[in-house]
Amino acid sequence: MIRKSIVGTALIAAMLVATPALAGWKLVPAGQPVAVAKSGMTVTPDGDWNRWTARPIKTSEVWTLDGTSLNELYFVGGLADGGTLFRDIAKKARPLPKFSKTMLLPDVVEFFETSTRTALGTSLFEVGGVEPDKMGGHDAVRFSFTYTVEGDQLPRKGIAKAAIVGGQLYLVSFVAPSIHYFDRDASRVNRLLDTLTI
Amino acid sequence: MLAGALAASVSLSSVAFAGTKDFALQGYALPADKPVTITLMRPDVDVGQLQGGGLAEPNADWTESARKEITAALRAKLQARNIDFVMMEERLAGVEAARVAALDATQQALTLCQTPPAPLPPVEGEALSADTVSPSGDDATTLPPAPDCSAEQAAFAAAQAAPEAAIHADLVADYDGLHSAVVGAIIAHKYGLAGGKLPTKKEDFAYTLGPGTAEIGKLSGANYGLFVMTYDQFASDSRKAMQVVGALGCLIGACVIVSGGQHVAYVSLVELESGNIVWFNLLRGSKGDVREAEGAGKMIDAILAGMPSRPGETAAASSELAAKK
Amino acid sequence: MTARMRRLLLAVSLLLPVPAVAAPYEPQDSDERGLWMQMNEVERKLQTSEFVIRDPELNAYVRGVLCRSVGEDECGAARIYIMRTPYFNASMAPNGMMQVWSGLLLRMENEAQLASVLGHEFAHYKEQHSLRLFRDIRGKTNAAAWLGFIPFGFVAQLGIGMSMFSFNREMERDADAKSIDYLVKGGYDPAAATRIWSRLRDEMDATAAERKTKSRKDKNGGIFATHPPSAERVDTLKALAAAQTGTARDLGTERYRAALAPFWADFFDDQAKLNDFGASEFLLKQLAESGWTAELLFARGELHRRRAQAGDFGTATGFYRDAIAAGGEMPAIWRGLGLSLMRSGDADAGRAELREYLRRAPDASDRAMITTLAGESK
Repeated sequence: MIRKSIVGTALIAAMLVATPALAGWKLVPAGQPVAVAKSGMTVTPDGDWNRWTARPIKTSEVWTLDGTSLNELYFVGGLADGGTLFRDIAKKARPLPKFSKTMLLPDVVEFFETSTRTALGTSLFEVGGVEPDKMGGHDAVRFSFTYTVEGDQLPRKGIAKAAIVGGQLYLVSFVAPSIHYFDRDASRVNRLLDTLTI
Repeated sequence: MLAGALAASVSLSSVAFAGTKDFALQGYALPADKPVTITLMRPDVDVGQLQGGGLAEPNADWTESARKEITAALRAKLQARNIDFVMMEERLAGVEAARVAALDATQQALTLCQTPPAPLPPVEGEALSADTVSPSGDDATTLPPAPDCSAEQAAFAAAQAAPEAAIHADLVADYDGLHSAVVGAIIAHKYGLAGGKLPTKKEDFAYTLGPGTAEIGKLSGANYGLFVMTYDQFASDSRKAMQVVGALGCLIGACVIVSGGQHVAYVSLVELESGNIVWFNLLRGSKGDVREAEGAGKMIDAILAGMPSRPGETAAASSELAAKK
Repeated sequence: MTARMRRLLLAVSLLLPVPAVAAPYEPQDSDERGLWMQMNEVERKLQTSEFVIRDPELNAYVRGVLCRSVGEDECGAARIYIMRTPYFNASMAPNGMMQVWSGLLLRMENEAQLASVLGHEFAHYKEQHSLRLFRDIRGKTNAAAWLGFIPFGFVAQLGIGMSMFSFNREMERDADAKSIDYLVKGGYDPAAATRIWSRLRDEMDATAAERKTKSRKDKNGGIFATHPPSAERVDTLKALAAAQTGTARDLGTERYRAALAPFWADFFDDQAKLNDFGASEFLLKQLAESGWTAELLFARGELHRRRAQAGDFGTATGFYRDAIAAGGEMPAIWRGLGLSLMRSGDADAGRAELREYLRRAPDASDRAMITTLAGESK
């Protein structure tokens, strides 16, 4: 039934049984600097966001506006040498690549691509423009990307910004469906990325 | 989607609510000043039998009759409310048939225009005269000047430029995919199933597919889109036996409650001009056997109960009720 | 024929009805119709899926191989979808939907091997193995339920499992035997099938060796739902092939390479970005059996640069230089070379190569970033 049905089945499962709230969502109010991902990284959003109390990996954080299927900001703060970008849930069959502190900024873009392709098992992932940037005075890279997950029938677009400071990776990525959602929120997210400090 | 999905770990517990629970754009009413046409996107219908082991066994005959009965019930129910009803699949087939017909007709017209009337058979002797025989030996010089076919040419070009079925199918598939993602967010955050309420969206119901849905409106000739999903798994005999055994266990203090069948459905109404989901309803539990006209009718009655109406319409409906009493 | 007549003929041919095909097989009972319905839904989604590779030549080639082995009168039952999915798999659903994944095409060495896999899947289809499997599982899960085991989403799992690895031992043996018959019928070397499985085992060993884990080649589960590519299976295939004497031995290696030539670089790139150095290197060496081209050398350099372990940057630098020596002109060679040199401590040389990359690819999408890294030329 391929993966479409898994998506469908998961949705139906959610509707059939109530899942206890394992984690909740907290308000991130606009206009004040907030520390993210249990790290020295701060960001100042110019609009309200919702923050998930669960953390995919130890030093990470997930924010959304409407729900993670429609817009998702993923913060990774201070990922150490040897760490993975996402939780390594299929460690044995499909292990995720590991961060290395000797990476150059273009390598970080490749690290992001390989991590995402491996985690989602997809071949339809493309990196767009890759540009130099600054994150709180440190050299950083900002890039765009697109991908589709098989069976999902929904192309997605994203932007990300990353820097390596003190041998640790600081990365923020944003993903939304290409139809409507990405274009609606891209400028808001770009402004948010401009406020990142370490 | 990305990090969240990878982190989500789901544990199952008992059912929280049964029946319907709906959300609507605050104070939304269908327009009173223009006709309302709803296009029904291909309903996602799945009917099967739940085996003792939890294996949901698909049943094509049941699914087919449920799809038919649900569509018929929707059509009847909406038409009774003076709402026009277009099925997206039929509309797509119609648009494609019209495109092919136009292509054929314009091409024939062009061909006809470019084909001159057959020249009269040459008069004996004349054909042999040297001054009428062209050097290449064909009869080009005897043809009248080429007719002006620019109108036919333009009509044919326009017909050729009309988008093919695959382009429309892609458009519909794109919005199907986006709609599923939006429903995922609604289920997670408005119903709090496998998610939790979002502080920024606690009060109002604001979910959209974006104004690009106007293309769907143009294609279907409708101003609203209706998405319907139903999932019904009836209990098999072995499943029923398990229920009994599970309940018997209660007597000895070790009971396992095995749910009988599984029934869930949702409908969502999209204003195609804006893309906004103006109303969404989730039904859990069975309201009737969707494989039969009566049960499907009851299910559709229950799930459409809270659908926004046109100003004045609710009053009419309730006065009708009052009159019956 | 004049242009006018051609147009007229074309107009007429557009009006003619599509030639009728022989009445296709219809599902017989309720179980079968249920399975078909679900497969039809999957196929409906494929119509608009971005993952389907619609290149007409590649599709015609794969169909041609299937038809040559199972026969022109039979192959019409299959509707082939070539999927851009980087894993080793093919399947044929009971309704005739056949999927061939790009990861499989990357791994086949020749046409005979492809014919063997397609024939194997076609045999499962002909023998209605998925229907039998479904009935079998239904029986088993009912029994299991009494023990409190309730798998959720099992149908979904079953669907995924309907792949070349998922049938039971007896069905696999049956399909293996039939695939040998198909190879013989198509004039292909019947020994081709054996090598697919032994090479898959080698690839799994390569993955494991790189990850310093135990090879999963004899392990159930995952994509090898119930039946791994076991040594026993390889031996059985070998014996079956050996029993075929005096048959044609066509491998079609050149034809296969030609058909895949426009695609292998993309397919390999998909594989290389899956964080599986062992398997990727193994496959790259297979692609290079008839010689290391500039493209292959470049891909090998990228593989080492991305792995980034001790010594890898030096190794990568060597492969990039070999690629240039072999006549390679893709700008990305200089990008990889520059980045490798920078990471191996030779920053100045690295920057010079990055500037060469920018000179060769003035419109590169990462131009701004690489320009910053490369700095001004001295």
